[in-house]
Amino acid sequence: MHNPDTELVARAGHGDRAAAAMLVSRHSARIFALARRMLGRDAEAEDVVQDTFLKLWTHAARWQPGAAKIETWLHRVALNACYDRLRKKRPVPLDEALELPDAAPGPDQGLDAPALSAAVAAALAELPERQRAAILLCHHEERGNIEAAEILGLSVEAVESLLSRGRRNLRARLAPFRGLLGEDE
Amino acid sequence: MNQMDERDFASRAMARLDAALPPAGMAVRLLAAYDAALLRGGRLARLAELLWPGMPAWAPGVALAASLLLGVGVGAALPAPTTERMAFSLADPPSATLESLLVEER
Repeated sequence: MHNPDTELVARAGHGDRAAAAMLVSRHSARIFALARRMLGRDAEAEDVVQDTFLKLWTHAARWQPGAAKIETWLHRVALNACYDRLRKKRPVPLDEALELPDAAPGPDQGLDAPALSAAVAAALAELPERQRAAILLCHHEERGNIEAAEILGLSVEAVESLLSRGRRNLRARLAPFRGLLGEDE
Repeated sequence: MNQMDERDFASRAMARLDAALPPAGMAVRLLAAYDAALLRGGRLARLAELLWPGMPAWAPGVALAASLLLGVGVGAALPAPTTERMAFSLADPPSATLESLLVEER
């Protein structure tokens, strides 16, 4: 199947700025969203996007058409950059790290949408990094297990195991919000 | 709760996440990095063309690295020049004469 990204990368590698702009417009927002949810901060997420695209620009002229899908490759590079940053990061208090409002549920669990979103983001941030990445790829970006496995550099079985643990952990962390998330308690 | 319920729960939870929109100007900054990378690549290519016309950019680099390695290898293999003063040198004649040495022996 023809993938327009392959042609765009080849053109960008030969100095076609419009092709580079097209690649940015097709992929940068999604890569940013993934990095933002992995790292919790806009500035760090943008740094990851910059590093990822810089790698693409440097490799564009030598890109092999038969190699991995550009989108898969970009996600993989971005996730590796996120892992590097997470390992270097000193532990910081969660509310500071995520720049989130207080998401503690009230007695009646009367949360508005932004607070519930913050609670979900906080629960996600508490997951181990690979579980978080797997959950984001499969449940937020709605990718299949095979593609997620390629991005994560793991076997499909390993991704399924990560997803299973990740879902269980997420559900346990969001226990106070189950009613709001459409689950009967 | 079975696996299917956990899957649905995770999807519902992820649907509640905010949009995480990229900051304004990010695309412009990414393209500026593209321009800079292109410029650097262009300069390197021009330098390579100057050094070894008609060859791909890596060829002059490899030739330069190989010649450097060869130079260092030969340099390391050759014996180091001695720093000891030679016994007889025209520039630095001996202070003692043959006669004075004979007298000393007696």
